[in-house]
Amino acid sequence: MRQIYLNNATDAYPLISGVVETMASYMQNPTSFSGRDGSGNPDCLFRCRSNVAELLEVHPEQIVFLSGATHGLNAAILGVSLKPGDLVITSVTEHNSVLRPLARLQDLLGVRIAYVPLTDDMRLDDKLFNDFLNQKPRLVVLNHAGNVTGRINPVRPWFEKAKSAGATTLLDASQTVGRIPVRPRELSADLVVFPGHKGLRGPLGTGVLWVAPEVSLAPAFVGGTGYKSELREQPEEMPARLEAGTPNTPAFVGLEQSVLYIRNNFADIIAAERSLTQMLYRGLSEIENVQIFDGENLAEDERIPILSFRIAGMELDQAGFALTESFGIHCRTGLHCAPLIHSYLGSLPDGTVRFSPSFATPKEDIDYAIDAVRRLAA
Amino acid sequence: MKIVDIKKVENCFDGDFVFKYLFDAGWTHSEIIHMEMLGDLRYYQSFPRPMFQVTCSDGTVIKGVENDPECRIIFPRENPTSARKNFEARFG
Repeated sequence: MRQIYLNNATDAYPLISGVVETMASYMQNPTSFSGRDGSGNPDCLFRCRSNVAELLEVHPEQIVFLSGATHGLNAAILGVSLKPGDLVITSVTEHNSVLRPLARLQDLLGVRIAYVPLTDDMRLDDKLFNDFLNQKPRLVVLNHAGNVTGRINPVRPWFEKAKSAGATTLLDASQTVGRIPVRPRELSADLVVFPGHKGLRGPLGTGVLWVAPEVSLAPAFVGGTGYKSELREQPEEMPARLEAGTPNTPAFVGLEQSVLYIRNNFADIIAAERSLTQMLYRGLSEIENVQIFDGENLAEDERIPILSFRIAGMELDQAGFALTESFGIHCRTGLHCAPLIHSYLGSLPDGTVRFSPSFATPKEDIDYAIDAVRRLAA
Repeated sequence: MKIVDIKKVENCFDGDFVFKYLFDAGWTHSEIIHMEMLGDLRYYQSFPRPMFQVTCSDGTVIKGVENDPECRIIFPRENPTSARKNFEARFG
């Protein structure tokens, strides 16, 4: 049976050519391992760091390598050292990797959380955000684009206002890095987190936390760094300050390959993904009995390639089963780990079907997916 | 048809009550039609891989694909244990 992959918002597939080969070569080469005592190949992490930094237009020393975006978001949220009564502003479009660390600090420390809701036209509520800012937040956490609807949020003006109000700004760019330009300085972000296995199309087990040089995060984890071992406490220097433990070097060696590819082909990637997303949106919106969640009035530069929908009269689980098992379309159903937005979309308790193509998706696959949904909805 | 293997399905919902059952042979057209006696049968024969779904009178939902020996079973939240026993007794 034909296999169609429309689940790139979860894990990108296929990986960029060369990623697997580079990782295998690294792991099969004994000199790779002697690098841990400083005599082998210590440059490979630095090279990857430099390439990621170039993509973001930042300095490589401020790039911290971690196991994924969840690790990065925990490191950032815990590292801000919130105190009882501190206010954190976030939004109802966030992923559990933001919501759960914050909820934990609310329970353990008495941190206060304000959730910016959506307006009737599915935008984050600007007026309420401004009201929350008047309460002097310590931290503002927003995603660059939601993982349920794909809508890009107005990060820059909101972060500018947040910083003026004295808050630290944390951007969850899990769905945008590699899909649209993400330049932390232009966005007024103090902290940016993203995984390597989504838009960057690198290996699982890779994540990045960028920390603005003027921001000092307390390490959430401490331990070995491979140097300054005589110190009782974690070294102060970045990125070692936030990188305790053995790095997943083979995966970052692979990530470097995908970052290089993305950087060298970025304009084409953006154009292809916009075109495919519009094609998918138009096709699905023409089908009777299909409800698309958000997107009617969005321009192509206001969304990333993520589209959520439901088929009237068909249980979500049944739609997911049919798409995967009968049509060979790999997609995702459910709340997508972002539970709060669904009460605004009207998609509780089950959630939505989510299609997320990428520039590697053939146009024929989009046609096939639209036709499959049409047949299910008939 | 005999049950060969049972695997719990981990997902965001109903995680405790969703299982994959592997049978010793694929579901034939006539076996699928025969399942109508268990409850409401929906059979999508025109799909690339024809699929079926049966909603049994006790709330158990059986989903599968023609000629595939595997099927997914969702037992009702209210009485998952007895529903599972009934299902396995029928095919055990």
